Amino acid sequence: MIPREINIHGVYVPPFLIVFVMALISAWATAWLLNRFRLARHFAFPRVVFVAFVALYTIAFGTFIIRI
Amino acid sequence: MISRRVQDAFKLALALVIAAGTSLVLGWDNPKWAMFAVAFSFLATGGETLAKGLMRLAGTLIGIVLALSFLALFAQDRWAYAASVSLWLFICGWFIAGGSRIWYMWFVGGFMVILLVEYSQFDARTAFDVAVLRMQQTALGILIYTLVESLIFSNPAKEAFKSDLLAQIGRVRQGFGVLTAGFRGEIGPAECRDEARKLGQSGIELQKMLTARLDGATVESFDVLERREAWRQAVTVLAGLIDAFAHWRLGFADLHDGSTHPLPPGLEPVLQEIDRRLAAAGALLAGCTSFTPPRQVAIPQVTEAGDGGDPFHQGALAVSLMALAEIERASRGLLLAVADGQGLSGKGIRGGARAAARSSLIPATILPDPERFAGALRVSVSFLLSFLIFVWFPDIPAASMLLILSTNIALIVSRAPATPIGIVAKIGMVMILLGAALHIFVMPHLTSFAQLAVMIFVVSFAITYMFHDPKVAIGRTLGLAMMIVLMQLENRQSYSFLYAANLATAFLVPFGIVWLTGIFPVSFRPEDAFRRLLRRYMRACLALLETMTGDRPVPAGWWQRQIRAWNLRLIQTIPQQMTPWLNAMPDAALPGEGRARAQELLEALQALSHRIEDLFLLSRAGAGRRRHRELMPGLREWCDGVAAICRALRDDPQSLSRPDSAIGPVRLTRLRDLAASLVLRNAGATQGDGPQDGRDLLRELTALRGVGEAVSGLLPLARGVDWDRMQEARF
Repeated sequence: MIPREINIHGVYVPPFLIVFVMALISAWATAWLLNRFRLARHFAFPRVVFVAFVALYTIAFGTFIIRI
Repeated sequence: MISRRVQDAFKLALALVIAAGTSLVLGWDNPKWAMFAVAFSFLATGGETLAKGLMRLAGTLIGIVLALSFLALFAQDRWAYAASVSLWLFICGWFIAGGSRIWYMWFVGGFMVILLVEYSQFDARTAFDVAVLRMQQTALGILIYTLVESLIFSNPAKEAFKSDLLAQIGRVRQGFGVLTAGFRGEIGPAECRDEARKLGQSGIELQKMLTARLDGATVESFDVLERREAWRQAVTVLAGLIDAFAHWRLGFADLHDGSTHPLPPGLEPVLQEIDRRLAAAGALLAGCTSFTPPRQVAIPQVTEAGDGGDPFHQGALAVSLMALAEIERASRGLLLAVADGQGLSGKGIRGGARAAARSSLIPATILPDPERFAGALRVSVSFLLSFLIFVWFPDIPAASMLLILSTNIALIVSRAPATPIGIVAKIGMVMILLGAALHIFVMPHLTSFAQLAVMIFVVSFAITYMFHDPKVAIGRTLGLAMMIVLMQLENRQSYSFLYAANLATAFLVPFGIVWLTGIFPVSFRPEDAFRRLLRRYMRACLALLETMTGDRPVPAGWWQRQIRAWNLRLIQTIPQQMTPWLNAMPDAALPGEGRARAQELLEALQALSHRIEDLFLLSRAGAGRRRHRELMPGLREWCDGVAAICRALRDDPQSLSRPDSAIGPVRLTRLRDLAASLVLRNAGATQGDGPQDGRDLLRELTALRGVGEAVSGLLPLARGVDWDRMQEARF
């Protein structure tokens, strides 16, 4: 897949922006679930883990869903 | 009748339109600065807005002088520049975190240094032009809002101040009535506690509001300006009066512990006189032009009775009468201060009001509040982090905006450190989307200033109307700020999607930086801050109790007095500081009844502070210091019990809930025996045999018992909180 801009009603936005927003929402959802089931207590620095989730989701979405 | 909400929204929207139009007509660059001055200075009354506007002007002036100085000195050395600016920001943050009355001047003075240097791109000549323009625009904005406020729907601060003060005095009088009934034993201690709690909560909020209103009225009215000291004293004494009520009601449970004890004769005239003074102060504020000065009333002494009843009853009565004496002094000061403020001044009146105001103040110390230090440090660290990003990643979108915004947010947060950064960032993003929608979809279709004016008016009216309540002022500030920034108003208007997208990116990075400085170097996570403050409170308690119960030599030196005053200040202020952290804590940290228990724990800490203050006042008198040593075997049991609970709460509150915990309520049997023997001794003593000493010691023993009971009262509340769960890591 070749990275290309995404057309939203005539406004061309970079694919990275879309992927980043998707990763952010997914990381938020994951963090919420981990909090909900008290699994977050097993992490030493949850805020750093949150940033890691964003990075991992960005790479995953950028590789498999929207090429960045 | 048009509501105040609509009036305020109309005035602000109109002033914004006029400020934008005037700035454009004059051909000045950056009309947004005049609009900022209008939007950010807006407050409930005209005087308050003008006072805030003047603070903005003063801050701008200070910022200009410092920015030009830093440029002249360090234009070639970025690290020296960063060090000097971070030091200046630390000073600004220090005053803001300390609750300075002129906090807004420090706030503007802080970020103005960065703003001017960034806008001038480190060029001294450009910096001067930018500084002059900024000053002009700010003055223009304030002038326009003041004119609009004076001509349309004027809301004078003087009247608002007097009416708020009148309402608060009425509330205090009502509370005094309830507490008097409690003192007589007509109602239970629980009702008194609820009344004192409500009074205390409304008192803290109203004192802040009254101080701001008074500053506004001082700027607005020569009459108030001339008598500002009297009004300031009235506000201080009123706060002292509410505090004295909290002291007073603590002894009621001991006075009426199931059995009926007669109150000493001669109390009724005192209670009636205090009530009359409060009524007279209210009448003066309502427009009465004459008043009867406070009459001298003597607080009756405790009568001796060695009848074998509760030995602590006499002591409790003596401590309650001590608090009543404080209320009597404060009520006298309040009436005199209000009379002085209303122009009915005399030499005696002024002196009396000042003396009462002084007696209400917390002891001063040169030692800093660690929480204040941490707040100021956060501002400096936020700036330094954003400066590093600015230097090492110059291509980041809107890099200069990053420096200004991160400092701006850190300065705001230093005033209210429990502010949930994430929620503010979300509100900001919504407002950016709104501003971006205007910039991209609406503004390109506008063909004249009239159309632009309609858009500015409608949007700013809607934002001000929606976020009118001071509790949601952050929404109004962010909404107006984003609308003004994203309009990118100039005489030669241009539109760009990239500008809005870059701003949205640049907006998130500063929040990320402030979020990071909430973790390092000091944790501002609500759970950590709550535990830290509790630990500090218990440490201060232990230090105070050790110095006051004779375990250590009498603190006579200057340094020891400073340490003691610092500890006293800590125990007085920490329960208030903990409240916003408790409110900011997520529900997951305090499941079930945990939040309610923690709230009760804070109230119990406040009561313990009052008990320790009583003990401090008695031990400061010096009587009984020698005898403490003689009584140490009796006191030792008490000291050990209190210290064990305080240490457990300081080091590991969860240990109190473990089944093997050996810590229980403080045992007071030895104190009771001592008190009983003192009562008998006092009853049999002749006048020359030192009955006063015995009474002093009995009062101290009662105060010690009060502290013991208050500390024991913390145990069930601390056990009701799951401290391990609170400290758990979570996102």
